[in-house]
Amino acid sequence: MSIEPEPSAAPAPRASRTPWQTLWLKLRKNRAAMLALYVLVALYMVAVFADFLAPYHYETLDQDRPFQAPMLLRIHIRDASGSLTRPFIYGTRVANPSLKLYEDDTSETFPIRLFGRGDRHDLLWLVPTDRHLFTVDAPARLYLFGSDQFGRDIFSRILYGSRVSLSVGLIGIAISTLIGMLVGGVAGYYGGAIDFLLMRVVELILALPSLYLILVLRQSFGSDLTSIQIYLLIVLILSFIGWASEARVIRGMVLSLKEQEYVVAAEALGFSRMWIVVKHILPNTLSFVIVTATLSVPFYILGEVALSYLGVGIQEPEASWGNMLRAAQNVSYLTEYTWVITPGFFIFAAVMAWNVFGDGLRDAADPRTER
Amino acid sequence: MKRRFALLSVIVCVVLAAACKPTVGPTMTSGGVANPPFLGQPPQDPYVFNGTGTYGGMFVMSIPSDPGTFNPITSTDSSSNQIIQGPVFTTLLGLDNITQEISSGMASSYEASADGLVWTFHLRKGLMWSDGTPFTAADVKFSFDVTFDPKIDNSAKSSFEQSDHTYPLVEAVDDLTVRFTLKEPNGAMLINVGTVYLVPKHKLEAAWKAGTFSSAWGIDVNPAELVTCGPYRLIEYVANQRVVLERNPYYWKVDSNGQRLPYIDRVVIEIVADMNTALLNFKAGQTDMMYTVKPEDVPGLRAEEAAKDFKVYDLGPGFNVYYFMVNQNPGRSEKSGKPFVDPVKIAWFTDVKFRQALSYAIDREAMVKTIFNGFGVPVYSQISPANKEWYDEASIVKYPHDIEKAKALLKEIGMEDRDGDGVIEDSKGHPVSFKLTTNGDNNQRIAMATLLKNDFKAVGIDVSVNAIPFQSVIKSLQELHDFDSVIGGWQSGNPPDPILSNNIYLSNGFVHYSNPNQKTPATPWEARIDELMNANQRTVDIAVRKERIKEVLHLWSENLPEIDLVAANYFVAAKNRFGNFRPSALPYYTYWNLDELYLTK
Amino acid sequence: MKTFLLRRLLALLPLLLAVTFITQTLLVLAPGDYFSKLAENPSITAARLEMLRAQYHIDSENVFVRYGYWLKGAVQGDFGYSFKFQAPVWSLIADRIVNTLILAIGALIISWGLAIPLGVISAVKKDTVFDRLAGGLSFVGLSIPSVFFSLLMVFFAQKSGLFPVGGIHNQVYWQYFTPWQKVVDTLWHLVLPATVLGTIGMAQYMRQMRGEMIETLSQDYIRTARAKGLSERKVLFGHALGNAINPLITLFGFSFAYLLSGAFITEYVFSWPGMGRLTVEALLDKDEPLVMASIVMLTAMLVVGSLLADLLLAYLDPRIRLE
Repeated sequence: MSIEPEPSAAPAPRASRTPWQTLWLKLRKNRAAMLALYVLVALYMVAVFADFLAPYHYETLDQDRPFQAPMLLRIHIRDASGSLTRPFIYGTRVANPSLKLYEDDTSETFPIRLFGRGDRHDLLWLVPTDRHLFTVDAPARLYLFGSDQFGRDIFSRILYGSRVSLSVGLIGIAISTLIGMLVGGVAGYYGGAIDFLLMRVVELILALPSLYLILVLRQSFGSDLTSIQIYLLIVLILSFIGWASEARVIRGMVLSLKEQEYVVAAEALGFSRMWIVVKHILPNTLSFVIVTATLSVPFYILGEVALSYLGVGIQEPEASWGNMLRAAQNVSYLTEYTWVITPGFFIFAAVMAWNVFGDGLRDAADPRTER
Repeated sequence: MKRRFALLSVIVCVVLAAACKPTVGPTMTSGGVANPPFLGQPPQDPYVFNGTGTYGGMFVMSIPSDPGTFNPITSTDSSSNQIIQGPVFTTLLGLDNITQEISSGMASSYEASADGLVWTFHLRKGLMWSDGTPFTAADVKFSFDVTFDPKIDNSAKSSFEQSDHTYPLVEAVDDLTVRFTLKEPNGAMLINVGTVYLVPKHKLEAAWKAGTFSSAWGIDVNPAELVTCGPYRLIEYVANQRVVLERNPYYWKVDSNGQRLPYIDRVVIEIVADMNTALLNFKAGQTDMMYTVKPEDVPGLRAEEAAKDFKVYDLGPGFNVYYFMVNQNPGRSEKSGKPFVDPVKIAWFTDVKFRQALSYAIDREAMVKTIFNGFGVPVYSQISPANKEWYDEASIVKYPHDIEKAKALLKEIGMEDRDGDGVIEDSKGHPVSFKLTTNGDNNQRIAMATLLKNDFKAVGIDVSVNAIPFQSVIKSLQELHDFDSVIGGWQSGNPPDPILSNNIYLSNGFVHYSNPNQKTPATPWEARIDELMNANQRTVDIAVRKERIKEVLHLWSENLPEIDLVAANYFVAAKNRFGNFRPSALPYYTYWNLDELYLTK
Repeated sequence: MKTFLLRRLLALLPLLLAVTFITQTLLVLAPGDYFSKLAENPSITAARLEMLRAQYHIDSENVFVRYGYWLKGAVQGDFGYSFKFQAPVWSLIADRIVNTLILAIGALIISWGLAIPLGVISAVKKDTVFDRLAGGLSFVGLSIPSVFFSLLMVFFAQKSGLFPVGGIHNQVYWQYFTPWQKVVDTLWHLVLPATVLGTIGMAQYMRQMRGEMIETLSQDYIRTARAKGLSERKVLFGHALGNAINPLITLFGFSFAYLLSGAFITEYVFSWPGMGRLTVEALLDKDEPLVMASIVMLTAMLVVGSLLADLLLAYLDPRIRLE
């Protein structure tokens, strides 16, 4: 995947506006990119408030309702007499347990309650509460996107899963960018033997068949980890593969930057080399770095999906978009209970939003598009 | 212009590819005449199959991976075994999968001396290899000699090993008689003899002498060289695609009309990527049988039975058993000196009441319903109810789902929720919380872990699921012994005689995972099980052995070294075109009697 | 040129050594081995496991001993036998690599066959509805996760019955097919996985093509050509296209390498018997000789792919010298 924009990215500052203001102004004119930005903000807000927005905890199961079909379109707003009422669903009963067929039991209605009580959770990881944005009373269950093999709510699991799948991108990119900038900066500035050595390492990593290596890595450090540790391990492994391409491009930029006057001047003033790299050179690569980082977020999201899909990523009963798709490995689940692939749409949406936004950011940061 | 052309060419490609969906193929109906024809004469005292059929036709099935070898002695992978052990090579004895009893095979009869030390097998008269060479006792001796060769790895060898690490003496008394002389009685002798597939001395002796027997008859073997004694011989093998077998013209069975077996001319075994693909191929009518159907696929498949003229067979509970086990190993790691299990937890785990409480807390019925689509049974012993010969319902202590009973048992040993946080504490105030390890690549076990976690939560026990690669689970079980609890499974031996499971039952067994490799039995009941199983090892009389197994079953289910969970029902499916079709939950499920099958249409 | 080739190929050696050593280390570190799976068979004995491990040279926990053993064989051209298939690893890899090549070429044809015309049209009709639509679609293609896309395709195949759900051939009738039928049958199996695999590439190359074309069309010589009164078609295909396509050629080599090594999720979902699936399964089974040889092969393919890109570029652009 080419995620490297033209390396001539340092925007020429104008007298009146800072480069960041220029960038923002240009970005705002790009409707697609702004839309993507809104989608991203929405997705990440959902991830933050997942436990409140989801009617159930991701582990809550109901063994009497496996593979119940999505109810999103079976929420009624008119009662039997046809007049408007608060949205409600009918109770359901099992029509055929082995084919997992259910039918509505119209004798009972269950209104959808705002801020009802449900599973306990810690809002924003701080406030313990059992309130959820919307719930229905037991014994009914609200499965907006259907239920899985255990009768768990796929909608709730997608929301909880977004915490894993979306944050993998941000944390991963933060780690790899940091390493990439440091290695690229040091290699580019110092040159010589250090440069040679670091670049050979970079080439080695770029030449590795990375996904396979990730699989071996995951097997080597597999056992006896908590879910948080597995999560961190996955992020680390992905970043370990991801930093190399950034380091290479940053090195190229630093090579050209270090000949510029202000660097030469700083050197003449006797500042240490490390200081110059960190204080003067790296900040100049920042806009480029941000664009590259944005465009590489999908790599991390898709990496988590691939690993979890293959069964070596996030593990049940924890939810992630990748391990939820695992249910579709069974062709009969895929064809009979097609809603198990719903998480795929969310992966798609998130990746698409990052791509469009990153593309807009690249255009905005490119001085040639200035009009 | 260019655009139109590009678009057009894509469309043409796609349409062409879709439209030319090939439909031609050979006719697969039976013709009534054996082709290839039989050669020579059947043995003077052939094995007589009690039934009849008609000749001709082709039988197509699929397996999910390539065979590793065509050498029936060194073969260990299931794909190779499925192809060669039975359809291509046979043993001195046979097994009737329906009655689960040992029958005669290439040996027409056998006798054991009164002390169980000398076993004599009499071969049928006039047996031939598939190339027409006479089959003699020298071939049998050769097959056992290579099996016992310490340099040649094979799965049959270890069960013959005697306590002084020697193997029985095998002699060809004359062309038709083979004699085994043992140093100690071996209760499993007949079973063991039935696991050694017979190979032709005249083809393989040179390789054995040259030290290359292990690599002889690999997957690159020239089919003409692969001389067989089973109903079929190899015609073609294309890696990743298929194995083609054709009638062995010298096969030694006849039917009750005196017609020679097998009836079906050709067997095509497709190699597919996985069982999903196999199922799709079966649904598409490309294969004749599914030797296994996952319970979750059953409803979908049944819906198509009538339209596609096949049938799904529910063979009842299968032989494989899932278990849950808490680590009862009080030992310490030699390397670090640390105890394998947290001393607080080992105190719980070694308490039989704690284990019984766990067993009561498990909702096995729900497990069957959720994971196996309702097709399965709860089990409370390592032997599945499918095992007609050895299972004994009356001896087994059962633990039907009962939360109150579980809570009462826990309270008896001082475990209750004293601080109101929903998790019980033991008498010293430690919250009862432990890890549950299983392999993340196995969807069924992960599902069981999810349900167990839920079940144990209901009695106030907090379990965290630790899903790790399969190899890591095994390493933990066999070497590190550092797990808290684990979900695993047992495959069944074949024949399903518990004598083959000694390593599970004996306290010094290395797969006695709850507390393996014990120098002396840690508990009185383990000592008793050792005594019974060791006695069985030296006993030939099946009736005596069965009585002992009943007591083992009772001790096992009462003391719960492992908490057995469920056995899934075994399903197979086949087109409605086979005569003498008698599927079984033992290998090889649909085609264990391949030589007797014939095509009715 | 010759020295360039020689140097690049020589650089492959230390790379392969490093990669294989890393892989071997990780394999030793990872708990368990190929024979772990025998543990669920109740009649297995400890002595038998030990014997198997010794026989297959995986009994040592010392990385250097294990790597040394492997390297000694590898240097002599003996990469060993697969534990699982009991066959020389190269014969297995050779089978699979052909299948992977078929898939990769199918994907390349789809991606390049669509990307170039679509990119050119978008550039010519810049800022029209077509351009925007194609631009939007390219984002869709770029963003759709291959796992998800593959699953959708499998679903489509299963529901419509138009295409096979997996595999590379019709297994039953394959042996009775005429050569022509064999080709058609393979193509028929190829359509869906190649589409999935080709889509990501297509989106990317289309965007690139569009960019290059726009850039080229704004060059002076194009204006000159137009001023001379050349027909638009001649300007486009005679002058612009040839120049605009050059930079993309480098991508060709990379995309090939990417397809060869990156196809495994698609292979996995479609049960395509290619290198990717072989390697993943070998990894999960810990079939060590096969893992090592596959890693060697995949690394070599990646390097050769990028080498191919350099050579192509040098061939097309005389200003570039390979030294």
